[in-house]
Amino acid sequence: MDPQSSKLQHRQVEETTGQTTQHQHLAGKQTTREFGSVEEMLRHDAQQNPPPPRLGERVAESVAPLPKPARSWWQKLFSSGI
Amino acid sequence: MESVVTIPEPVDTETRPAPKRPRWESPEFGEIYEEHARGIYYLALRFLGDSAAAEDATHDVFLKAYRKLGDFRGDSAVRTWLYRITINHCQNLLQSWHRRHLFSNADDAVWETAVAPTDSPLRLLETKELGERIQKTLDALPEEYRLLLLLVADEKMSYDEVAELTEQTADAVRGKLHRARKAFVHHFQKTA
Repeated sequence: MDPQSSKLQHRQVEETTGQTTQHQHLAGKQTTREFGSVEEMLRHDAQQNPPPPRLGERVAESVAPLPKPARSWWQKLFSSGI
Repeated sequence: MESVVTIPEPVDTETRPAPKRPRWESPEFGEIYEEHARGIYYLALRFLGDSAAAEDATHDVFLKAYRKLGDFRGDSAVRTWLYRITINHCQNLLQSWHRRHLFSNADDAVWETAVAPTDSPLRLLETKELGERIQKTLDALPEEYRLLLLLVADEKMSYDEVAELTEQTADAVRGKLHRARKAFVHHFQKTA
């Protein structure tokens, strides 16, 4: 969403590629990851922290006894896209 | 712009087991959950700083959303609507729990539950260390900065949507984001 983000991400890729050999001391296939922006770091962090798998089941069980939402609402929602 | 941090990239040597798929009475709501749960959970995790509290909060947010579906007029995107519920919910929790005192000494087990048990020790350590540093940094920021950074990090959110959520103009969001990024980098470097 930020016009600067794509530039930063591009630069980050170049930097990572350029620095790969400098970080060969790390074991095995490890490479060094650099974050070019705060948002990029947070996105990486978000990927590492998904919701617990059991959470969906828990929510589904909690809403199961509740009355279903009115149909008209769903029609409105899906006509505008989720 | 300077890069913010360098960490070893995790090596995913093990395959995570496929999670058990929930059985939804309402398949449409199941789709909403699948689409947005990750973003909601992460916002709650970094807002509250505790994985168990974030799980409970995410559960409660979706429960509230389900109950309020009839009130949702579709004026905003579903994600924006869910984020609003999440922000209100987390702010209420923070106010009522006095969380800084309750969770300032969170033990390691809290962080170790944030990743799958099949992760390698190295991956666990990396995720834990980076997560702790990010959490410490976010905690050191004013709430508005923390919220703006977390919202704009979501690539599905536009500046206009972030502005709508935080009740300000998109230009104001851009200005504050600039300061928020600088503050984040400053505090993050101090956590090394």
